[in-house]
Amino acid sequence: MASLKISKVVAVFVVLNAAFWMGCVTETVDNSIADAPKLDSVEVVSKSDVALVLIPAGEFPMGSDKGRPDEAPVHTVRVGAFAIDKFEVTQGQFAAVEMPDPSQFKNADRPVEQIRWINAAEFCNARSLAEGLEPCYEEVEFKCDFEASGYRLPTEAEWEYAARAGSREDAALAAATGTKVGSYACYAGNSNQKTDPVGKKKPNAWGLHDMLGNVSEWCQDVYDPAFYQSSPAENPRGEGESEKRVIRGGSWKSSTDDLRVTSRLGRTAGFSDACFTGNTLGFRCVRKLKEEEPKKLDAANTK
Amino acid sequence: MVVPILTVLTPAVSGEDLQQQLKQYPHKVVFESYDEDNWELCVMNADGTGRKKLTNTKDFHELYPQVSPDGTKICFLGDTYKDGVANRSVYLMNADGSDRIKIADSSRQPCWSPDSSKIAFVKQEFSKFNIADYVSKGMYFYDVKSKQTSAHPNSKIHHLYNLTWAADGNWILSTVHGGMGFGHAIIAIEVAGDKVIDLKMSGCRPCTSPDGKQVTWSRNDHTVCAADLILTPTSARVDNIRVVAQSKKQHLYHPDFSPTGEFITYSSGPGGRVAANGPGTYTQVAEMIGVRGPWNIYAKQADGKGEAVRLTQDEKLANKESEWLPLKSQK
Repeated sequence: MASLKISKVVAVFVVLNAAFWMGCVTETVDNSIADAPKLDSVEVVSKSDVALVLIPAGEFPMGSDKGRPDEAPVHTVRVGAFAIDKFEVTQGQFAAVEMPDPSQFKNADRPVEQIRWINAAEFCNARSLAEGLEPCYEEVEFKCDFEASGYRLPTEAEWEYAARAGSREDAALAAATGTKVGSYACYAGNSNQKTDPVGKKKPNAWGLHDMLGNVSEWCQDVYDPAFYQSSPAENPRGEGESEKRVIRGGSWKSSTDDLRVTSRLGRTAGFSDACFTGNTLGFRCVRKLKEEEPKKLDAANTK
Repeated sequence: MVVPILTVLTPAVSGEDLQQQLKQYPHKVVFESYDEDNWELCVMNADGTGRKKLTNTKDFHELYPQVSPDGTKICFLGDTYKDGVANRSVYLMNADGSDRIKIADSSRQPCWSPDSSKIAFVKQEFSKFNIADYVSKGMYFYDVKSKQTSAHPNSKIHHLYNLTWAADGNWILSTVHGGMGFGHAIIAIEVAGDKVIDLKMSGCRPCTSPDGKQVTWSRNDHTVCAADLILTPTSARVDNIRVVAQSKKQHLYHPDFSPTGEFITYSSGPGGRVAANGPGTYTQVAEMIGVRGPWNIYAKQADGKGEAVRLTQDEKLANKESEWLPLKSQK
């Protein structure tokens, strides 16, 4: 009887897998989680020993018609290739450039949090200088030079494109992963009320860790709830006049409802805050591709 | 059971009446001010008259005055530059501005012990100066008589700013930001031990009253509060929080109790990030030390009732960080 039971289980497993790969099962495949096939990307290590992933240029449906009003409408966006940090910026990275670490949950491997947008931009500059690259930000009004070779915060479009990792769905991570959400994200259900060291959870299909959960991530764009109604289709940058900048990705405090690649929030950038708090807020950096890097992407794409 | 604290009620006064009270008040006010491309320490009467410079040093910027409780000495921060690199250190001088010495290099946030024998301070965290006030590590004590410095026994002290030593001598209150397990808090630190207590007061920059029974601080950018401070050798808490001053638009910071506790002075000005605008100034939020914004100093009754009186008149001089000078120092 036991062997019959096992045989039945195996049979069901085989059938389900076959059905899945044949497209018969309508389970949502969300490449923001890693079990999907790894996509074309290349990993590099910077001069300051930080891992980045080279993301190829591409087009994707940005936003969601099933989320909050500021996520609508869904619109097609094209972004150029760029390099993005594999992990959220860590406290160890801050220590390496002697930048003050405002984080509450101290550990060199934990993400920086309680960070103002302008201090994240200052770190980008410090990191650029440390690696011999041109800083992107002038440090009075923090206007960004997108043509500079150094590090900056990702645009909202770059962030969502990287988080989607090829997925065209906007399913919440929890819906896509079911009970496995805890394997992919540090969130309210498993965080023990603090951040995780970066990279502890499984990456998405582009090898990026903690795009959802752990700390919410600052983006370059000013926050405009109506931006999608008039967003440019090519490399939108979210420029405008607002005290708020965009935050993406959810954090260790988020419920599964907020672990969505399309979810947007705005928060004041901290220009006038001496005592900025927010132990759910961090960031990761992006930069332009270096001269030799497009060839690496092309080589990866031809495999 | 909460034991109610008996509070002596004073009637609310008009600005004119307060001005009259301050005119008769014998103690003076020391503060920082930016004049002729230089941060200097100035002193004025309690009603804002009789302003004069205590320091007058070219290429040396004096900031953040802290007057000894016995009124005889002032410790302060001195900013100097060499090859464009800033150094901020703690200095000590007599209350009349004479006999200045450096007591702690690359250090900041000094405060006096209640018996005027020691100065507590923190050291800057990195070898390179950073203006952000919380970028500090450790706590140290300078003995005025022996000129020796010793370290606080708690090796975990980190990211403190705005120290204020309570009158009982046992506790130093401070703001902590991103350190010691706190995100941001006002804490009481045991002077001779390891105990640290979260006072559960939102805001920053506390200042205890000379009698040790009250504390004032900025609850947020726009509100100065005061509360009863209840300290024992082993415990610390606050009660009876009340608003002293509030503004919809202006930022209110750096409150300080007068020597007899009746008045509180504070700095007021527009908030926001200010670009460096002269030698010795920095680009940062306006309330930070060394940032030159259009600020002035105000006085109000410590119970918050009545109108405030503006003591300094020229906001171009960036008047901030008031500290009362008790009568004893005056000749």
